Amino acid sequence: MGIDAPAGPHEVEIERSRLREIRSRLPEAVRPLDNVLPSLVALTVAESAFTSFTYSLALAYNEVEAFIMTEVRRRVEDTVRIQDGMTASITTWQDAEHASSVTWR
Amino acid sequence: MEMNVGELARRSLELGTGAALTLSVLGVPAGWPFVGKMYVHQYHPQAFFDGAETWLAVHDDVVAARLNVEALVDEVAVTSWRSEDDRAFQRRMDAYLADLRGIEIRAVVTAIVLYTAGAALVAMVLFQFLVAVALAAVALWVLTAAVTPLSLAGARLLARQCLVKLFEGYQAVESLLHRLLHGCAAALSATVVVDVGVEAARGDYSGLNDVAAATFAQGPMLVWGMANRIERDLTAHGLGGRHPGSGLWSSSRAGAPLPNGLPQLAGGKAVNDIMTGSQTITGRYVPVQAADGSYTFPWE
Repeated sequence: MGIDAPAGPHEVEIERSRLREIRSRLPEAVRPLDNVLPSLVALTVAESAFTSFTYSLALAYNEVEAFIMTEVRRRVEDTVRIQDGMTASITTWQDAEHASSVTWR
Repeated sequence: MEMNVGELARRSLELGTGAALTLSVLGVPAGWPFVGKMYVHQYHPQAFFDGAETWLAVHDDVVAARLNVEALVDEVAVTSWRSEDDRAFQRRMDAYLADLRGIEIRAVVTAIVLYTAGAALVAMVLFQFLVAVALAAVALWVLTAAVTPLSLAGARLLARQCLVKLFEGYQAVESLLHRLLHGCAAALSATVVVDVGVEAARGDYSGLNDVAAATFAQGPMLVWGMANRIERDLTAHGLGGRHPGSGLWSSSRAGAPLPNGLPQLAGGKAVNDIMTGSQTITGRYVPVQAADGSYTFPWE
């Protein structure tokens, strides 16, 4: 029996619950990203760089820091959206199964 | 080690100021330009080294998150979720993982640049210490000439020549440091701009929006940095005792002595800056960074 052809409703149900389980583990998987913003905010490079005489370094550093913070925040938001997407398609999948079993009978 | 570098920079400035004061009392004012320079080059490289370490930790965190997500995606791939949804999911996750890799690379580049800049600042502080010692030696020598049968006029002349040469050397090292830090800045900017540019060429402007958002978020820091820079420059020029001949503050009176009292005022202010460890006026208004990385104005 290949994965391509689930034998019956029971196995399909298993696949769905597995997908649901994977979805529920996504927040835990990206948890390390939560450390990033606080640790960058705690740095004093920005102040120290501005008090050095090369202004360009301070400008560049601030740009990079702010840019990466925005990026990280966006990735965390993405995770939520991906989770929502998975939820929606698992539901659709389930509904389609039900609908098809009804017509099949 | 770090604490000691900031400390050493301060000590050098004190030593240099003492030497310049002694020299000018003895009729050799050529020591003052060094004091202005040393005042500008007060660094706290530890912030840079701490920063480098933190950025490496950021890299590790992002790698950990990416590996976790990759493992999850692989698990999804073996389910029989075969549909448009599944393909859309895979595409989305590929883009997501690519973005995380981009953050990893930038974090490493930033760490390397901060480390390099920190090392350069340490080197500058050490160099200044040597210059301060040399100044003190010259001052001691002229002082010796003043109180012994040696010719004071000859000593002054020699001291002046010696200080002019030393100042040339100082400026050469300074421009080297400037170029190096400028290179660091270019490397940092490239990590943002190159990638965003490639994306924008492909029609994805989200990175560009992030750059704009990032620039706006740091506005208060830019304003503060500018004010701090102006205060520092003016103080350094005041310490020099003459109208600056180059740069932003140059004027038609370049080289002419400043009005009486201004250099003394600048000196008093500089002393206060050094004692408190920050700029007298702008020092207490460093913008506070919010948890989301944005800054607020001091009066907000």
